[in-house]
Amino acid sequence: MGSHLSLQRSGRPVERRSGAAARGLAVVLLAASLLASGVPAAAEEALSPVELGETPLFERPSPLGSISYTAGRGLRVGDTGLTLGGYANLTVGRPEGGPGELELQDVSLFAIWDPLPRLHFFSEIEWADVFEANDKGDAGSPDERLTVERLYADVTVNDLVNVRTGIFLTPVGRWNVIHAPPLHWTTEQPLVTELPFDPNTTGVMLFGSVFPERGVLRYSVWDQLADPVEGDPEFDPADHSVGARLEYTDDLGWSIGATYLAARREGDWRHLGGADLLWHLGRLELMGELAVEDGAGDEQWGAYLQSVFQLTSRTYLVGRFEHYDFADPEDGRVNLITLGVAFRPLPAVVLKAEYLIADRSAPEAEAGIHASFATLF
Amino acid sequence: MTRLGTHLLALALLLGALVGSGAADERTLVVITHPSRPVVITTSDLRRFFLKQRRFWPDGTPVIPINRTAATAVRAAFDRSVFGTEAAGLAAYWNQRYFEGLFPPITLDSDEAVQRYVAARPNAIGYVDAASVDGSVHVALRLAERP
Repeated sequence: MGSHLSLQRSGRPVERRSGAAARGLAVVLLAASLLASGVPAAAEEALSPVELGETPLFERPSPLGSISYTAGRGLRVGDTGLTLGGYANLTVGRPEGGPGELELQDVSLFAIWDPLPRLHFFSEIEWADVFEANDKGDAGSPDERLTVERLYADVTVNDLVNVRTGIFLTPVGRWNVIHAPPLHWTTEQPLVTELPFDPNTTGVMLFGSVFPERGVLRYSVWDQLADPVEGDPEFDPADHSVGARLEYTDDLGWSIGATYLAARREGDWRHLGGADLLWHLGRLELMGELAVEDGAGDEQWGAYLQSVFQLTSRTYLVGRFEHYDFADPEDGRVNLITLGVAFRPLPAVVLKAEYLIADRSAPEAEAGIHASFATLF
Repeated sequence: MTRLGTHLLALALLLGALVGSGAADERTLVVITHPSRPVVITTSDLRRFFLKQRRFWPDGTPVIPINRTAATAVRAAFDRSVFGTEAAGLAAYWNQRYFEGLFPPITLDSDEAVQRYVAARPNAIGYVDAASVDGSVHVALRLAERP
C-alpha cells in the first residue's frame, strides 16, 4: 500500500490511496471488531455492562507479562504499559432526494503508553472515508485518507498541573473532545461542534483539576505553537490560536462549561465564546452547547440541545434541536431537528438510526435517514 | 397447641426470618488505606479516586484505587453507596475515559486480596466488607449502603 502518513485536520482529504489490499484490511478490521464485540454477548451473557468492560475476553502469558484483550478497552501488552485499541464506524443513509449510501467512515487505531505514573503517551491514527457505495452502483474510495487525529505526551506534576504537548483535540465544548461515534447517540454531528473552530490543535496545553467540597473543577489553557502538517489545499487552519476552558462537574450528575478561543486567520483575530451543559437525571440525559464566533466583520453562531431517554436497559430515544447561523450571509441559517433511536447491545457497541429534518437544504446537514454501527475495540 | 396458636407461631417465625434476611442483606463496607496513611476520606473523595478524577494524594504520590471484581456483592454495594443511581452509567463513563487513554481501576477477586494489596502498598486505597477487616490496614471510612 503506497501510502504516506499526513498530519492534518480530521475530515479533510490529504491524499488518495488505492488498492484492494487497503480496503481488504479495512473489512478485516471491521469484521474483527464485530467479532470481538460479539463474543462476550454469546459467551458472557450474564455479565453486566460494567463487568464486560473489566473482564478480559482472553489472557495469554508472554515474556512481556500477561497479554489480555478486553472488549472496548483494547489489547494490553503485558507489563509494558502499552495498550492498543480503537474504534470503527459504518454508516448508511438516504438523504432526501439522494441515493442510498453506505460508508465505512472511520477506522481509528489508538496506541496508549503509560511507562511511568506521571508520563502518558497517546496516539490516534484515523483511516477515514475508507470505502463508500450508493444504490446507483457507484463504489470506491475517493476521499480515503490517513490522518493523525492525536499524538501527544502528557507530563503530570500533580492534579493541578499537567502539560500536554503535541497534537490534541481542541477542548471547545463537550462533543469535540469525545467525538468518537461509539460515544455519541446520533450518526450526524451538530454543526456547532465542528464548523466554528479547528478540531485539532498542534501546540501545548496546561490543564488540571481542583476539588472543592464536592464536585470537580477542571481548567485548560492552550496555545497553538505550530501549523498543522497537512496537504489539503481546502483546509484553512488558523495561523495561531489560544484558548481556555473551565468546567465544573457536580457530584449530583450535572456539569457546566465555558470556553474562549481566539484564532488569527489571514491576519485578523476572531473570537469564539462558548457555553455548554450536561445533566443526568435518572433515565434522562440533557446535553447542550452554544458557540458564537465573530471577527473581521462577520459572525457565526450555533446551538443545540439534545435529550436522551433510556427506554430499556439497552434502548435509548434521542431528540435534538439545533440552530446554525453561518458566517457567510449567502449561506443564511438552518434549523435542524433530529429524532432517533440508539441500541447498545454491549457497552462498547451502538446501533443508531435517526431522521433529520431541516428547514432548508444545506450541504453540511442533509435531511433524511441516517444510521450507523459503531464500536470501540 | 391450638390451630390458631400454631398459625401464630408459624407467622412469627416467618416474620422473624424475613427480618433476619433483611438484616443479613445490609452490608457495611470499610474503605481501607495503608497504616502509614491514616487519612479520613469522604464519599466525594472516593468518587474522585475511583473515577480517576483525582489521581494524587495530598503528599503528591499517585493514588492506586483497587476495585473488587464487578460480579461481587461487595462491589455492587460499593457502587450503590458511592455512585448511587449513576452506577449504571459507569460503563459509558469508562468508554469516554478510554477515548482519552485512561482505564478503570484494577480489580481483585476477594476481600483478602484487597486487604493484602493495600497493606503492602502505601499509595493504595480499597474497600472490604467490615466483617473481614483486620489490623493490617487503616480504616478511613465506613460506608453505609444507600437503600
